[in-house]
Amino acid sequence: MNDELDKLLSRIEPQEPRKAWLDALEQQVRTHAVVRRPRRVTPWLAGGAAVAACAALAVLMLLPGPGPSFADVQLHMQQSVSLNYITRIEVGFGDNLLPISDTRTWIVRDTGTRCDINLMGKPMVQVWLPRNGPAMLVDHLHRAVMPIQLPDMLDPDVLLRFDPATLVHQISRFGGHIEPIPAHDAGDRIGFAIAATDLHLPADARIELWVDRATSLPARLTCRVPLRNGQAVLWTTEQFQWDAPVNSANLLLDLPVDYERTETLVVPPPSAEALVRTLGRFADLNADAFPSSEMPTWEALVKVLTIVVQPSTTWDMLPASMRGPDGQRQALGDAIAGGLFYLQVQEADKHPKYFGDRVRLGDDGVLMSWRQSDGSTCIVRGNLQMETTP
Amino acid sequence: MKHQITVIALKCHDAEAWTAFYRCHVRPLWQFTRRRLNQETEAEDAVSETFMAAIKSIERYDPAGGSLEGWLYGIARRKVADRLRAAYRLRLILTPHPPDQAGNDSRTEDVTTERVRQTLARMSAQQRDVLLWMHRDQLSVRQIAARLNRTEKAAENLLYRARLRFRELYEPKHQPQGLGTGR
Repeated sequence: MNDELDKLLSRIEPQEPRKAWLDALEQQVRTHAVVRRPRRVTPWLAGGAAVAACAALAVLMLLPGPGPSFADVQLHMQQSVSLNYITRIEVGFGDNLLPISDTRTWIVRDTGTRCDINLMGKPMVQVWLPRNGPAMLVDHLHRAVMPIQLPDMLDPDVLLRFDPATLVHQISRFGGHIEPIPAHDAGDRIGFAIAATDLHLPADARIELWVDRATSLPARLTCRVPLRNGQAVLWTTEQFQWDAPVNSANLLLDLPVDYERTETLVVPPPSAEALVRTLGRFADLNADAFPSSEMPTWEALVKVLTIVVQPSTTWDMLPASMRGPDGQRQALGDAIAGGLFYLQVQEADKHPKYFGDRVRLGDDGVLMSWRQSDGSTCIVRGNLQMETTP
Repeated sequence: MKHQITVIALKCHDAEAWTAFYRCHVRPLWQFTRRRLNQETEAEDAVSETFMAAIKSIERYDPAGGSLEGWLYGIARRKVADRLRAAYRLRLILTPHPPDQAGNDSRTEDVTTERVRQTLARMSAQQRDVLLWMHRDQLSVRQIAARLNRTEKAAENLLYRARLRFRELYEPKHQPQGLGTGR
């Protein structure tokens, strides 16, 4: 029996190194570790940042897809089956920020995602995006319930971008640069500053991810984006709960019985045309200016959503094509389909380029371009004309 | 999960993480090198170089390639090998060092302990390691595999052969009672 071996070998007392040497080497390790701190850490860390960055920035699924691999955070994400968090958006000058919206998001792998969006503190929209079956939108401003049928051709993973398992995909694609935030600022968290351009944001945007030391999972993410008018937009995502027990009552939407149940919105397949129509609608509402080059999909989406939640009394302020329930439904369908198309172009690495700052609605200048599968380039001009060049 | 936390923090060159990592591994690592090098100072230098090299190369560590502990012991093995090669070049005569002997007065030890010590001294360093890790330090097969950066099956095989070898050397004339090869 090996018990006998245990007894025999336990007679051999382990040697101990000299305490003075141990203490000296410990000090040397501490010092050397900090001195050797790199300016940039490997993509291995970038994935963790990408996960949280995606979670915060990909409101309603339309975040540009990031790049390469990150084994450890992948592992964490793969092991997570549920997640919920709160995202606040504030706008203002300096530290004087006005809260715009706060969103509580629940994600359960293999089940779906729910977002409750409050605008200026009041319930605005609730979205239920199941892994299978039609999505549902509860519009509290119009007191309406709208089922949404997404295109069958879509990979559910593309839609359920908050799914922990799907976020693994995001990690594997993220190749941006991360700089650790000095440890003395971190407390019980490890902080990283993320290079904004890797997430298709302005170069002077400041993104910080804080990872909980105890769980090694994202705990807080902030993203501050300066605007041209001197203001700044601040996203804060926090109160992350990973693998917390899921209360199904929290996940499923409670559909108010007195709300109008509208027809199912059938979202067209993702297409360049839908994207172009969305950009055109944005310019119509924005004095012929397109979404800025900073974050076109986000801005366009926000604008279109404001159309959707526009009280009917103000419809006459909208371009004719957007008035009435049908106009709204068309705009929303195009916004989703166009956003998904933009997402696909980015994820397929088709080198999309966007020049919203250079051209205005009606100009001949190039607004957007991307490579197509056959090697040709598709160009969209300011006059919304599309053409293909070899 | 703890392993993952450590890796992230180490890659960030977090001083606290490196201190915790150091405290966790320095003693067994020193014992590991001490069993291979006949001078205490040589073992200390090898361990010191191991940690400095680990700090320098942590960014290249890929968890997919094996455990963090196995990676650290891999560095230590190379540092020991470097020192042995350097000593050979200097024509120093390196005599195998009996494991865990320094500081103990053999005159006060009983016969059995001395016999165990001599038996271990005749075994390979790796076989000594796995036997001591398993039967003295009470590490699991999984922990030993991680330290060796091998699969659990490979660690079990190594352990099996180490037990056999110990049995052969400890009681060479006849089959000892009570020294089986499986746990």
